[in-house]
Amino acid sequence: MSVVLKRYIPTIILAALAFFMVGDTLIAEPTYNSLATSGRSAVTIISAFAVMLSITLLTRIHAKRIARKRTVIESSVLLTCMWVTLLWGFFRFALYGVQPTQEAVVQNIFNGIVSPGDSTIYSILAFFIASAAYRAFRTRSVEATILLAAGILVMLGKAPIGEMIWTGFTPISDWIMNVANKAGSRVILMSAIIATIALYIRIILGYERGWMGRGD
Amino acid sequence: MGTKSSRSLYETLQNMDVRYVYLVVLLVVSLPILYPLGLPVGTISKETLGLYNYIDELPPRSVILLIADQSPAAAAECQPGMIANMYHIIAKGHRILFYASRTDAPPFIEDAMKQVLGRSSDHPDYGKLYVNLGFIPQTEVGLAGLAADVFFTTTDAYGNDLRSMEFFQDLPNKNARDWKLAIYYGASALDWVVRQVTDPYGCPTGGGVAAVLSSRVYPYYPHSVIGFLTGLRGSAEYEILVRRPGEAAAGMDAQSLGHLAIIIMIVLGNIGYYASRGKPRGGA
Amino acid sequence: MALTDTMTVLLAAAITLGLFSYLWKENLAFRIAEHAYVGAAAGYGALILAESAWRLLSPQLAKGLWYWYLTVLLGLVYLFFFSGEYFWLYRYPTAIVIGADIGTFVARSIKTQFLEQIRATTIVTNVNEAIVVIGVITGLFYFYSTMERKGVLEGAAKVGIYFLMAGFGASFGVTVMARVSLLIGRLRFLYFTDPAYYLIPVAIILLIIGIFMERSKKT
Repeated sequence: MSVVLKRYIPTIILAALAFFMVGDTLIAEPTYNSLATSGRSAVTIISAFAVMLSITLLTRIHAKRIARKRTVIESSVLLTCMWVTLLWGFFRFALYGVQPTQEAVVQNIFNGIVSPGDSTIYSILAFFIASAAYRAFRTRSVEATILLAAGILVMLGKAPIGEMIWTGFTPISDWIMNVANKAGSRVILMSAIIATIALYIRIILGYERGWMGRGD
Repeated sequence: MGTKSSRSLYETLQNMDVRYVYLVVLLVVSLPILYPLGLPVGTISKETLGLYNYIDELPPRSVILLIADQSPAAAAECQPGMIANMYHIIAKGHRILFYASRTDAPPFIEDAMKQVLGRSSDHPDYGKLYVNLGFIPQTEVGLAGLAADVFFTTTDAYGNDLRSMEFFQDLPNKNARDWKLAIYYGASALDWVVRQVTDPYGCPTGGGVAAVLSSRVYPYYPHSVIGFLTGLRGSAEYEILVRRPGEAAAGMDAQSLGHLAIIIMIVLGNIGYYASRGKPRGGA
Repeated sequence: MALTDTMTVLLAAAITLGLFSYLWKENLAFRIAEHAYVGAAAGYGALILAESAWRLLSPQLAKGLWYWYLTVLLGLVYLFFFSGEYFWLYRYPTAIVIGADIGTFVARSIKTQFLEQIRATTIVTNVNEAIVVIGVITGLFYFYSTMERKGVLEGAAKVGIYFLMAGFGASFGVTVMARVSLLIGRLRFLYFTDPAYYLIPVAIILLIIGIFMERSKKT
């Protein structure tokens, strides 16, 4: 009985909902389609609650670190930023109806911390790419040479200075993107979709249980 | 003797502190920002022209869906393109339906509306020509719901009832069949837009994609994706086309020198590698 | 400029420079900036999700459709993730969300990412499209491992890997373009936004002090 509740019923629910959604694309029956739309709406509401897990986990991990006097400053900063944003925005929305995207303090936190943080973390990769280009990218084999040559030609074709150095870089770069890259990307796309569908069939049939998390 | 000192020069260059490389990149990218070179943007790509011409030739008052999926990181490349697209769409008299598919994208819709229209929800044409649906969770499931029923969210981002808006009154199907184009802005993937909007409902997809995503868009181009902007270069091209050079066009000089710097590093690294190997180690 | 706008720009510049300081070496300023970003992003994301969920739910509740409260109940079941004995209850909302995702994806993906791709590949009107066909077929041969690669199959797989490498090289090229664009965006913010540029000399002075302190520790 416990295995039924813990494993079989969730798998049956997953499979039933998957087939229900597939049916919506195949069956043009207004009541069924309307039910599917309501179902999607319900699923989007349920999925929003998953964020509680990330908030709770972050709070637990960093509160423990503060209690053990490890990374006290950093963890305090994290918890303060998270809970100030959440509580202020939540109470302003609940009590005054001010949407988070219109709330001044929340938007200042977004513009002052979230936006520059996200942009800067990814922009640092430009430096790392440069150092990798200098220290690690070697033309050790025919394949590596083709990869680097294609990369260099695309970089020259996409930068305005490439066209100034030689007008031929732009059509070569366009050819690489529209022909060689299209062929390669199409192969990856088609192979990946077969693998993905195989994985989803295994999930529906209950062979893949990674989504169930820990325990039996 | 000459061989020993040139070997040690290559090895020194190979093993030098990586922070010098970072400094070179910083200087090479900073200098053209502070002292612009004035390089022309160059030939407009046919991917950008595809998007421009398609919007140009749409019948008046066409409904265009703008999907904001840009994170703050991707916004550096996609936002100038979104703004340039909006200038073009508004100049042609089309209607825009905005929606955000990630939690950090709604501010970019607000920012674009304020920059192009001057205001957002309090604009006199809001509800008639422009509607912002705000964030819809669950990316693909959310878009599938919206494509099946344009009143999926019931209210817009500001809590106004959608059914009372003039924007939707003359739409015959109240689903994605009424949309003439769906433009995706972001860095994650375009496939789900083609899957949920283009193939089932016949509404073509366009893109203002971050450069990192652009190579994965080509398999859909041009049969499903009619045109797209590739990163900052594509946004700069569109700014030139609509005659409003902005952030993207201003960044092209630095883009050029940044690319050259990395190419030179690849070449130097390989020269050093081949020069320092294949020579006898130890005493001559 | 209003005081709050000034403070926001200064905060943004401080976060930017704190994160850039990682390029020198990992330090407390970087860790503080990183943790501030993670915390604020998590809080902001949760807020937007909560508001959007309410926006989808409230019209149904306003119509008196009480059964929509079940979505809230099912969403709260996620919290059993933290339970030892009742952890398995967490699988119910997860199954619902994943099932809907799979159904929505699978139904369309076979057409979009498989059949349409085959159809687009079979349209050959010029030399370049013929080369794409050759590239796709030989690329698929590279992934074909049911038969031993000998003779023609081996040759085809080799041509296929060359096409794949060209594709990966193109991806590398555009990735470089993307990262350089992001760096340009950040530098333009630091150099041209008032009063962000006032923090640049402060950061340089702190860096020089840091270098001297590091050197004096070594000696």
